[in-house]
Amino acid sequence: MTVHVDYSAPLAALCGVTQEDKPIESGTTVEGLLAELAIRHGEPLAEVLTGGPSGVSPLLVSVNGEMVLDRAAHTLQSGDLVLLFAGISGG
Amino acid sequence: MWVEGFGAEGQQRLKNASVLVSRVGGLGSPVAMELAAAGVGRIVLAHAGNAKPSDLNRQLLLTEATVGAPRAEAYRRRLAELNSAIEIEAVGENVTPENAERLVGGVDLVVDCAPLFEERLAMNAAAVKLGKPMIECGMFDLEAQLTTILPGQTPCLACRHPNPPAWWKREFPVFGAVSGSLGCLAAMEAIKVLAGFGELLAGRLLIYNLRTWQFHTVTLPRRQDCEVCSIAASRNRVGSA
Repeated sequence: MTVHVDYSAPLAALCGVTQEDKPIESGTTVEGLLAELAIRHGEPLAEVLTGGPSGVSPLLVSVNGEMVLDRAAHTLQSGDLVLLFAGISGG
Repeated sequence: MWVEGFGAEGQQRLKNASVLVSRVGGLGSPVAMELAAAGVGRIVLAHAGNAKPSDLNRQLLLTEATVGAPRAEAYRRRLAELNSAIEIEAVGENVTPENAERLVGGVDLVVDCAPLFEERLAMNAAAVKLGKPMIECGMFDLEAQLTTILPGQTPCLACRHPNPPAWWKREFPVFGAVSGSLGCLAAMEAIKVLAGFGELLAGRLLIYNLRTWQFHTVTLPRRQDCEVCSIAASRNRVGSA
């Protein structure tokens, strides 16, 4: 199964990718997906996806337009649209 | 006035309304211009410091002649040229925890265009406490975000960001056309709130990227332990019971 991942601008700037289709195993959670993407893209994106040593990340996640608060409990389905974004400010 | 759902009554509501715009840079300038053009009766422009040459790529209320002059007064003069029938107040301050309630308390609605999360969270706390709607907008590179906070009804900024994200820096990539597009959307949202028509982005976050033409709308949840808006939400529940 596959999910579609969109990266918002600050995250795309860290990995050079704006969107991708990501194959996942059945039962993969949002937290699991983030761990896989951290390995796939490495630093500096990995620290944002996983929280790094501090465990505190600015990352926000939505699936099919609903923001996900409990990433360990949210199991992904084939075809889900996962948006990874962060707070941005002013201009 | 010919817009369906707006009419003479909506125009009168705008005339009777007051709005705080803070700050008045690439985002706040088009917000202020559109609100002035629409006839909002009183606009308060809060922005400290003097105009710099680097402001001119996006801050449409400034001109080369205003470089070196206090920004807020330059904004006020330009807006007065656009619409002399409205009241425009220039405040040479950025929002802080100390002045937030004074600035927010003096208006009907806030448009948050500040570049620092510390300012935004101070405005958010004051808006929630005082029950003032707040249009929340931000941008980075070719991406923009917009939402509407209705105290007691929607999540607030602190639900998403209890603290300023450590990664955010004061300087970031910006095109005036991106901040200008977002400023116009924020102004339209403010007009809809004030005049009472249309569907709002209440509790939803619009995210669009002009590099990729991706548009998303994300439903925002309230954080039950939010220290800022959980009290306002419970007050609203009691009030509606």
